[in-house]
Amino acid sequence: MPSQPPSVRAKNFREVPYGYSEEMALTEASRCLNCKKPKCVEGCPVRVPIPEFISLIQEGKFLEAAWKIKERNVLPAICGRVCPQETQCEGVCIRGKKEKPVAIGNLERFVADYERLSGFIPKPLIVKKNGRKVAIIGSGPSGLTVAGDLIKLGYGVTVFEAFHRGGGVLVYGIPEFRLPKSVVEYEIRNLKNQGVEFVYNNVIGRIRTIDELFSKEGFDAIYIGVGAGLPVFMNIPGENLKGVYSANEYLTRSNLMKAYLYPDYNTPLVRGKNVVVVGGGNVAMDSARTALRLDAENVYIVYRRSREQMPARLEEVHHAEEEGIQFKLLSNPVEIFGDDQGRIYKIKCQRYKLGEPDKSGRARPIPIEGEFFELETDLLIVSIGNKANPLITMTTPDLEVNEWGNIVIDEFGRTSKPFVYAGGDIVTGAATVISAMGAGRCAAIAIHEDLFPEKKEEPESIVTPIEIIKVKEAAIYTNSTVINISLINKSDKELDKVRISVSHVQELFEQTLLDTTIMRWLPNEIHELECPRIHENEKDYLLSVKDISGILLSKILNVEQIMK
Amino acid sequence: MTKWMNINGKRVVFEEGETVLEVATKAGIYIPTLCARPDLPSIGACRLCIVDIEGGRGYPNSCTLPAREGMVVRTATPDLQAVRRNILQLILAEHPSYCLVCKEQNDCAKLRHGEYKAGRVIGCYTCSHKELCEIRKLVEYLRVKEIRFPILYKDLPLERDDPFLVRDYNLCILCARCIRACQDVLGYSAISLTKRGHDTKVGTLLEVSHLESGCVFCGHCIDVCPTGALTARGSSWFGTPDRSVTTTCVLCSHGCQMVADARWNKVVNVHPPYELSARREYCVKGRFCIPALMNGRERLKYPTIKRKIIQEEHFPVSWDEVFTYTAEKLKQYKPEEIGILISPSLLDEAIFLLSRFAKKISNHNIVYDDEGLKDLASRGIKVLFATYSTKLFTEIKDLDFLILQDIYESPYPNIADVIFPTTTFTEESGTKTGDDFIKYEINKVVDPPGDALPSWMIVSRLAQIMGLEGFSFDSVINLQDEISRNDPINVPLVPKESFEYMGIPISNKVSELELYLDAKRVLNKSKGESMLDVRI
Amino acid sequence: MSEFRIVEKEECVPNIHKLVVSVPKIAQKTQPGQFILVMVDEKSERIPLTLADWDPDTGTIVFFVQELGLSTTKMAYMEVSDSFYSIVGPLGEPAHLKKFGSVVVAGGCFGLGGIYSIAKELKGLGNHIISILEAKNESLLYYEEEFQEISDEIIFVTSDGSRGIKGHVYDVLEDMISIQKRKIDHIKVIGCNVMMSKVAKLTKELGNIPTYATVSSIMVDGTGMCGACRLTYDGKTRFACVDGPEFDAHKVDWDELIGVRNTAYIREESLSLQNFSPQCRSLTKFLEKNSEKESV
Repeated sequence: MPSQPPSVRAKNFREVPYGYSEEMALTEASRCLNCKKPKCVEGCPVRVPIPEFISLIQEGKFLEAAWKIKERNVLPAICGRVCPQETQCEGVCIRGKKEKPVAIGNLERFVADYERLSGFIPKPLIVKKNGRKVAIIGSGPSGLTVAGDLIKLGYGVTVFEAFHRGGGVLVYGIPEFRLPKSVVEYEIRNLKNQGVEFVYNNVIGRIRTIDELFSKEGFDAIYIGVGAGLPVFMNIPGENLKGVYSANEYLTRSNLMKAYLYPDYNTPLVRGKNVVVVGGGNVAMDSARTALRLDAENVYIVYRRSREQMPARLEEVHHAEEEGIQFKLLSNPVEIFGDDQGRIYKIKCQRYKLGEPDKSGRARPIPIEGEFFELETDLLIVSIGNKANPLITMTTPDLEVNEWGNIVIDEFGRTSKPFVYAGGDIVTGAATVISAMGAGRCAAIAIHEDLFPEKKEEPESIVTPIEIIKVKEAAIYTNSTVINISLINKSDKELDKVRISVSHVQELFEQTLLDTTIMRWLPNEIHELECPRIHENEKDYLLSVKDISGILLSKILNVEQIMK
Repeated sequence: MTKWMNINGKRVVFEEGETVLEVATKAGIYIPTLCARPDLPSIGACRLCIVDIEGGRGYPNSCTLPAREGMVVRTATPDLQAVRRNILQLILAEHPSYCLVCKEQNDCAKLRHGEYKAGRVIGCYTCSHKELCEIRKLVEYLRVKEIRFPILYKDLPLERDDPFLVRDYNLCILCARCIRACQDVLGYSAISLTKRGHDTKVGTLLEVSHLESGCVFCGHCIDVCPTGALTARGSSWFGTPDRSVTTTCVLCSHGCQMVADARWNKVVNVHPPYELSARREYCVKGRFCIPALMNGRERLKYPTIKRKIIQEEHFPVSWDEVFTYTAEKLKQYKPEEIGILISPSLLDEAIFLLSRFAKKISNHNIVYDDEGLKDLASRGIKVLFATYSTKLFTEIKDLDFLILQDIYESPYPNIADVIFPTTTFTEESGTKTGDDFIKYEINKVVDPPGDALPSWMIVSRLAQIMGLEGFSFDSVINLQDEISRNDPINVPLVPKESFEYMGIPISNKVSELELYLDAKRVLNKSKGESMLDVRI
Repeated sequence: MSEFRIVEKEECVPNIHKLVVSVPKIAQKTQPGQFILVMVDEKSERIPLTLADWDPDTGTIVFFVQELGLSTTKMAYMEVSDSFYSIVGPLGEPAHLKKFGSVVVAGGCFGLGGIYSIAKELKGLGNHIISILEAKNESLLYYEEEFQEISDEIIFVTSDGSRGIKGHVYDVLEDMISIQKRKIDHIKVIGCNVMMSKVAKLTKELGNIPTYATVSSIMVDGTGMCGACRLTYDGKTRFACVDGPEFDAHKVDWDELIGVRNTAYIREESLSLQNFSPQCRSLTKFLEKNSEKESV
């Protein structure tokens, strides 16, 4: 992927990669072998249909490729930029055994940007509301995924966000040069167009507790996706001096409050000449690279372990090195010194060496007795991790948490409190955007199952009381077609609470085009339904009619037949 | 004819027509004043300059008293000081003077980190004029320890709806210096004393806005005001500057002398030197817009070369590299294909060297404005060394190589092939020739951002790398000697009505100015005047 | 955007503005001692302001702003029916309130308004309320009627003696405790950090009378995720936005808070005013007037 040269990009906040041109995308896509048993799909935490979207790229159908990804991944423009593909899809790509793996992340980014910049506005889904409301706390990646999934199922979805802009870690944690905020804005606008309500400046736990969301606001289910937002400090002398920041504060000031555009934006931020960042994760890389772009002459990463053990994404470490950031590995600060004004001017670090492996299987760093060195610095950023923010768990006593404050869930995202679900960093501790999205996906399925439970038993063979009278395709607007379905209750009984749904036929997760409940269906009464056709490629639709006794009618409608 | 009089036992000489105050000041004898200033006509309003004339009645004001042959004057008797102390206390009673007599003044200063940037002044600690306040100096001189009268806060509304100028008449002591400066010395008459008796207040007639009353925002009222009643919005809260340097404003060719205050290596305030306050006509550009113009965020810091890897990008490089590259490129062209665009805002030294450079390599194809540039373009130049950015760059058809020397990021970023970041006039020393061929001294106030160099140095080093003779100068002084040995160059003057500096509209960097200019144009139109007037 | 609209605005004493803003959700949920984080416009910074009063029926909140720098100056320029860009609240732990007995409630500068809600609640819990209101001069005292309603005793104290006792809050307390030998069970104080640190020092010497202060610190997010508001409390690091803002004043490291934490951006604070360009109303009014004339 062609990128900005290091000496140029170290002075601006534009993205590092330039992005593929159409030719480059076609060339790269042609490298895909279209394996029968695609390992890449297994490697993806949300099971994006990778070979299929790459095939669509090969055919030049870029928009369709973007939609294909969106069937499983609501935020492809973001994942293409921040996923650690080297440990996921690209890490297991067959091509990667002998040469470079197919650049799946770059292709995903290409089609997502293509869709965004093409001006294509997705049609708002005409989904009948199912009468239930779900509250999502936190507009980060997991919350947005749950919102995107549930809105398609006809839920009323409200996302509560503590900040004044949505996106969570995407907007406060990841810098502009890794993830332009316009991309996040676009995705949120899409969700708004589909009917998701975003309520900003609301800190759940303060302005409303979880119980009040149920009792006063009438939500049926709540998803907690608040992230791991409690900074960890080193607890060494001098940590409260001026010029010492937690990475959260530094990045929030720079990314969310746009302090890199100071003084146009009023939030100030110390611009150090000699900057030290403590830590080895993605957050440390982001902090270091931001400091470099803010007039720093020397930026040092001080990390307790070795280079190979750094948890940061390889590409970030690579970029950081190219830009001139210096790594002081196997070191850790032990004291911070301040001048008479209370401002930091140097730190003292201890040297380490690697010893026996510890619980996590990594070699343990052991301090070398008496070996210290000093670094002159006027800005120290502490980026050694984040713990679970206790604000919600403090005000919800019956929510079970573990010893570190993380919410305890079952494998589907259910917490110890009924109809309360959780996922993302608040459960796992600091992890990746994509794993948070996977957790959100799981929880959405659990929410749907819990709110609309279906009997699993097969009904005895009965005479189907519901019959299809007519199925017809009609064009309403120039670009959209609908399928008109007429159904009649042929039995002599009144049917109650009949749920009718029409969906695409897909393997794992159904995309529902119509989901409606008819409360009372009298004998011989005819109901006419309208169902939109969304994807031109789809040819089969599953019509399913159920009530509490079980399935009344289940039929696959084929478009070719309808057209006749 | 010299005349003699006696002040405090000292024989002093004076001229006919001088006042006792003027004579005493010239003789080095201090008489406290508040409403009098050497450059303003005296009115005897404050009565602090009273003196004791032997054989006279009462205590007359020395600022309005003509000196007479044989007068015996005493300026600081105990009785005079007592009366002055009373007068000062009366003045202080209508001013927020709580801090002046507070016992905790010294401790208070220690506890305050940074400026207390309040809106209304409720004591010296909230006043931005604290360092320069003349009342504070008088309180110290007269050793006023208490104010016997109850302090009355007039509670007038704060007037800060105007651009640049902030007025808090709760601090005003009605010395009328501002009115005299505006009316008698400059002739604008924008303000005067309004209302009567206890309600007397400085303001505009009929309470119209300052814009409509004829104020041109020259800022002289701020310079003469002894208290913090009149302040400049953008420069108030910087405390004592780290450096104050006298230099000359280059925004037009009028050459007004100015003092630039710098703090933290940035220009934070610009004001006239004390002696010249109410004599020279400064304008809104030089008085208020210079700090914001110099300190914008997008100042160019590093020389760059445009290269194409995937897309065209400007790569920051070292000066040597960019000069070598430029020199190589220039060698490939014939003199008639090279043109030089000189900004009249550049200093003399830069213009001299650019002219010499043009003579040597470009058949003297020098132009000074867009018109000239169009002419050059029609003659088919292929290389342009431009010292300011203009939209015309997009319209020159055969332009192969564009060298752009500039201070801010150009609005046409990728048109230039190399970019030289240069200094503004507050960041270098030199001279500038203005109206009537007068040469003004320019002194450096702050360091330039990043690696930016003065324009003369850029030309000098580029020419040396190209192997040209006559460009080697290790200091600006050497260069000035050389200039004095040569014929002067006729550079077009920058008129007062120009609102650009180095091709950049000043209102782009100072948003209040844009609004002010819009309003001024509408006002002028309504008066039937078509030209935008920044002074009378 | 009609959210966060200003309903009332008044400069009650020089530099201190009373703002009444319509935010129904916050008005319904606030408890005494909590604060809000305000952004004036999209490019503004986030600053914390203590809530003085709130009315769930009308859905409005009341807070006092002292003009001290760029953001508060921007607020001073706002007018009724202007809107803030963002107000987040109620943040912070509510104040520590119960029936203590005889309680001194002391406020100075912007704290006068801030402590009103705490005093009112304490009165409702059956405490004997002694209010001490401090200012530099009598012209800077405000909210007097409101305090008269809820105080059993009210003492004014001014630095120059223009009203009430001459001196400061700690002078009054010293007199009350050492000389008058009154029994004080609890002290609540809100004001500038310097004043609160002096009160804390005094009450510690005079027998460790429980003193709780609401600290002012720099904040960014207000929910405990950044650490900008951290201070040393009882030897450990605590965040003012989630562990406070009310702390036991004897355990706060005031020197660090005043001299180090809160002086982090002095230079930027001065420089930011250089670029401050309010909508010069005299010019905009003039332009409007003339464009009307033209269209007529």
